[in-house]
Amino acid sequence: MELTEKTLYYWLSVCGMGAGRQNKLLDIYSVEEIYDRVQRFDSELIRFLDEKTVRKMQRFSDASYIEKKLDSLYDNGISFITIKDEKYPEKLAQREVCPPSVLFYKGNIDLLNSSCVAVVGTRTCSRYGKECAERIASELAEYSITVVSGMATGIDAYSHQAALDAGGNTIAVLGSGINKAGPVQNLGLFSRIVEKGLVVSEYDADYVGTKYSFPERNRIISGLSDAVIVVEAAKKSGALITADRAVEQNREVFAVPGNITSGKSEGTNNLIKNGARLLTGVKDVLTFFNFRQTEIIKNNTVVALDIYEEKIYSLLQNAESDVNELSEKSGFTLQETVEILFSLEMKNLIKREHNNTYTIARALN
Amino acid sequence: MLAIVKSCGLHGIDGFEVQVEVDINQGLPGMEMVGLADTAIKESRERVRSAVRNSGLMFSPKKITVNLAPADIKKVGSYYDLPIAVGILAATAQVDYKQIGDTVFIGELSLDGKLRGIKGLLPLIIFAKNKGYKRIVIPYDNKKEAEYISGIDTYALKDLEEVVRFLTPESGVQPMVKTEMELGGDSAKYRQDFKYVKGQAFAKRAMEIAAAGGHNILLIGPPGGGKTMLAKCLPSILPDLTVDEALETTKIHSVAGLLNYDEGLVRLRPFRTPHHTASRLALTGGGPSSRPGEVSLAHNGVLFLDELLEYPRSTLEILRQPLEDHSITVARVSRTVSYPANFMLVASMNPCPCGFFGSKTHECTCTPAQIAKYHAKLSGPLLDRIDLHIEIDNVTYEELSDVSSESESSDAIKRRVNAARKIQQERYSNEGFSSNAAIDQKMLAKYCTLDKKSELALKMAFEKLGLSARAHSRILKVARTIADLDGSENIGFSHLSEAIGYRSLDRSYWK
Repeated sequence: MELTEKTLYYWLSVCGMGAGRQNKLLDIYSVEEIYDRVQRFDSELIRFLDEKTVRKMQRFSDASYIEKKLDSLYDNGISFITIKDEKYPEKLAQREVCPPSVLFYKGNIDLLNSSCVAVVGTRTCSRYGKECAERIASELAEYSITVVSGMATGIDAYSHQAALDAGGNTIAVLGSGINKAGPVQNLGLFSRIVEKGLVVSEYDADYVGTKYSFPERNRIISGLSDAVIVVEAAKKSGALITADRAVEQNREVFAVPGNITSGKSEGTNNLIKNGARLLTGVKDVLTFFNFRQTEIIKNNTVVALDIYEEKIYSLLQNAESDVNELSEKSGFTLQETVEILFSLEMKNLIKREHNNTYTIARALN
Repeated sequence: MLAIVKSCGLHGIDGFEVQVEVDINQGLPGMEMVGLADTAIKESRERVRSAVRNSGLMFSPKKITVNLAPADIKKVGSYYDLPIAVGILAATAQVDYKQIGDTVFIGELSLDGKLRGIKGLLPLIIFAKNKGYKRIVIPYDNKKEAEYISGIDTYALKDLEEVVRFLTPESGVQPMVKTEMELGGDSAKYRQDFKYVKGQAFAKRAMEIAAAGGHNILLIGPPGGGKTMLAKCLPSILPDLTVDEALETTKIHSVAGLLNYDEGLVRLRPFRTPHHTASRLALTGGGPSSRPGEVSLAHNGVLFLDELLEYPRSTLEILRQPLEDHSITVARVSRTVSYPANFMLVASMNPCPCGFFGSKTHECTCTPAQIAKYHAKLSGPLLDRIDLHIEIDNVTYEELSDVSSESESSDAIKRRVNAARKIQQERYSNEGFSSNAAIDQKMLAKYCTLDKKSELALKMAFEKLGLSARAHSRILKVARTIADLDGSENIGFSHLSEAIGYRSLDRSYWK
């Protein structure tokens, strides 16, 4: 088999070297040269790397072996692009990102070059964090902005979910191989993202994530994005690594403020203290980037409300409220209130939450 | 000489005929008992001997053989003391054998000749009546229990002497007077009343609907939210028992020996609250005598499982069959018994391990993974059989201390529930069930039709709210009950929209 440049990039990426060393190597040699030197067990290359690594690379360099691995990759429905590929996004290819030479993916690859905003946060989120994540992600989706996150539990998962629910696009960046996507409870979400969005990983399909690989991929989350929104993060949270990377990569960092009494918002509040932009709505991101409102297709249909619905809706605009309270304040009977709430919910204007509580889901035009 | 006396035995909650044959012959003095009798019956020889002597009668000093026919069915219990004693007296011509004729004797004797009350009399007396017997003699203690069964002359007698008098021609011993059954009762019988439940209007409404349609309901809420309080108030709004229901429930309680002699009848729908340490057999019934379990004792009433997820999985899975078939079959090597078990399941649980997931007043400390694991304990098939699930949050201090808002009393709610249940009973009078909860898939199309607008709304709700398929029939049934509470013949949009509101666990915010 003829080893194409793309195949050689694949070979290089699965030889056990990190993106940093790969990039250093590629600065000096082309990928064909590297392959050639490995075959010859070239002393210059050994001086640059080390003997052990080069032996390992040699072991993997058998053409039929690479072919077999590629076949199983394609059998699993996984494709990849290399840094040379025209679809490889420019923003990711920047030096500061330490770009992966190969990006494995499943789903719609064109999303890589759409306008992306990362929404990240703690895995053990509070109800407030969840609400914020969902609100931000679905609003981003409405403005046709792709939501990038890490498919972890908590904020990540809620962001992906909300973006998909709102009919928007989303990219999940994994810290493991695509065949080893996890955690288990997010596998349903995983298949939804594959179907409607994009899942990418810099790791070979069967690579089981390690405690180093997950923080590593955070640089890709921020690298793919024009801005990073940290929704909720405790003092030491993985999401803060993403924020750090974003700063290194000259991405704008937004943070959602939280209660000063809540430990889960300590990290985000600190970010704001240290210069991150305070975010209270997606508009903050849009104005920063001068997204022109007129260009944005927002599927706003005019919703007609009768006087009963209007009354309940306006009560909810003041504050979220539960059924009992709404019935009391509006003067409607419990049954009437329930019926009106149902109509409003069907019009997507309000949302039901825990404990029969309703909140505004969408503003009236 | 030979004497044959009629009696009955219990199989499940039904009776079967037993003939007590007493033969007295020459031989060494003694008493032999045959016919698969258990220990309690074998011991009756000592009780009978003393009772006869202490009643001033003669106990034959000959060889007495007692046979309990049919000989191949195991007999348990202490019902046969009296027929054996009567048989001995008849065989020794101390009473007139001709007088015994078509009389059934049931009762336990004490050593002084007094008749003692027995368990499970009601099914026996009903059996005797249906068999066509004209007279039955029962212990005086069981008088109340027999009061409502007419069509058979019942003699509730106090002791053996009275039995002898009864068997003397023209003695003048009168059968007891039968009375009409009086069911239900006022709220004074209940300790809990919805009047005292502050706030929680939504939850109370859900309880009302559950009671009216006999729907299974799951209450989800933080500790101290009032789940148990709400559940305990439920009996006060349950619809009154019908005569048939009362008899059937009484039968079970009678067999289990839980019947109060002074009451004689289960007048109120039972409310059973087995603790979560209850064994599986305690729930299903079983043991050497195949005693009815909690699911049967809750027949026509409520089975309340507090803190549902604390029950072992295996215990909960047992509930699936009775919830589906409304009966339970207890199969043992020696015998297989079926008990009715048509109960309304009321269960409560916390929303997450710490109890505060989704609470407005407390922060939940559980991770999503912990919550998912917690909910996985609730088995899908069991959840499938629950029509309403509602969330209950803590009541705020303002609501608690608000004296001005008097809540609706249970009596007022019960009137509505009774009216709604009556509509159902009339509608299903030819179908063999009596409440909306029992509607099956086939009947759904017949009784739960929607108009165009509601049909469309339901379809939309399914798509928008991500409701599961199993929610469909549940929502329709509950909507039917809400319409009945409304006195409406058809299910309207408002009924449907309210029913959808009671499917909390189907909502995506749990995921």
